[in-house]
Amino acid sequence: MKVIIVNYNSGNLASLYNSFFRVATDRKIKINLLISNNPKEIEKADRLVLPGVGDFSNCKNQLIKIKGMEQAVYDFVNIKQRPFLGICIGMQLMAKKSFERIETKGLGFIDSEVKKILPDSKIIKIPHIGWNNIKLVDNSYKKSFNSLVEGDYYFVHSYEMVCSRSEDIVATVNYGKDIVAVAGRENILGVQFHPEKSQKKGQKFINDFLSWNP
Amino acid sequence: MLKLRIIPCLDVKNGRVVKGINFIDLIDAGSPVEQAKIYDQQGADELCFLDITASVENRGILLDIVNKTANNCFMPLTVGGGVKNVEDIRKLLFAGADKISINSSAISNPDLIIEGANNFGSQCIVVAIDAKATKNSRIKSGYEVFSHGGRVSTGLDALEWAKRAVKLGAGELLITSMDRDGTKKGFDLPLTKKISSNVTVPIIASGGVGELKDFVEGFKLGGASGLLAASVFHFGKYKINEVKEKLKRAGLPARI
Repeated sequence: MKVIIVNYNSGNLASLYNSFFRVATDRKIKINLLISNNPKEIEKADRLVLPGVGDFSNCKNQLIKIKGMEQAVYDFVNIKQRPFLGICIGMQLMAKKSFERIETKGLGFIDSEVKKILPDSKIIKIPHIGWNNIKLVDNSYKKSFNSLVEGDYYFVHSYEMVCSRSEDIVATVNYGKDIVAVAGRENILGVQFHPEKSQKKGQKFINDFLSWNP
Repeated sequence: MLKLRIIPCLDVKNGRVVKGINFIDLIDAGSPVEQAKIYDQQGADELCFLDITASVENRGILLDIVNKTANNCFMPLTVGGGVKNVEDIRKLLFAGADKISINSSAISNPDLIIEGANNFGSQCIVVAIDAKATKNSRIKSGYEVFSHGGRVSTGLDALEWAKRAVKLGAGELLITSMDRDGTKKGFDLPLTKKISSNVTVPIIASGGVGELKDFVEGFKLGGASGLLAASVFHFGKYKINEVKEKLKRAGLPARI
């Protein structure tokens, strides 16, 4: 199984690589794990991970700077229809557009928009930083993603994905109000939290993603 | 519910973890990589790595040690010390840091906060403030900011500087009480409370923890979102879990 983490200069990918490598080794899952910025490689992937930290429009600009990359990701998701995982800004890039700093178009995989978190209460601090427990709202994911049933994951974000279709919401996290923590449909999944920073719980999630057969 | 964070801090000098009292008299406490592994296993919520003499010695941070530390922990890592410009921030993020703490350079060049937040997002820019109580009547909050590892008096009011840093784009503030640092007398609660109740971003309080009750007070009375400690963890006085169990017993949200 070829697992590719997309490298588009959005930040350090070592911890993500290390987490996947550790999970595969510990659980004896045979994977060919690669960090790649080559759209031709991505065509051959069985599973694709789109990371991303920082600012939405910077991430999007870095992604489209690589010739053929946006199309390769698009083809992987829509034509090959293989398991795809977006993490943090990688998840937000799955939206139609973001309003972070300047309005920027996303990849449009999930009918949603990325907006600043505006909590109902003034005592809630922004960014949402730290460990928070999620609530699985789409029980059809219970079997493949047992890791999502309960537990704390590490979040760090000031913007949230607002989904137009409630059926795309897989899990939520409460921070002054319910925020989308996991969104997905068919072969694609996006997580607002960082599995690679979420210690054992995150490793369980990565294991579930590696075994997922959507 | 968001959990309160317990953050061990590795104060690093010449590639070794050290811990001083009131910012001087350093005692060796081991290798940062080994310490990081231990705290990861203990379930620390984050790790903080401060190269405490980088600014004073006017050099960059030790990238390879940051990299080795990052590769050995599966939790968020904040790195600081001697960060002067956007390029320094970029290098540290690529070495494996998740958040960058800036202190002296933010004071001499506040635009660095704006540039850092615009390039990498506010969530990765932590402004660290070293504060000391003062009787100077021009400093209204009663706390003055010091730079360069507590060696240089800036004349800045800690509360005003905190508010300004947030306005410029800081996503988090790390507030260290110089009066309490290493003394084991507990966090400076008035300082922590003054800042936490006046800014919209999370506050990490640091300096002075000695007993388990200090952690409870730091959250309950100081209004901190996270608490930083060094010597009580490095020298094995408390394990991370003991602290979290104490928090739970006090009715506070902790991740166990």
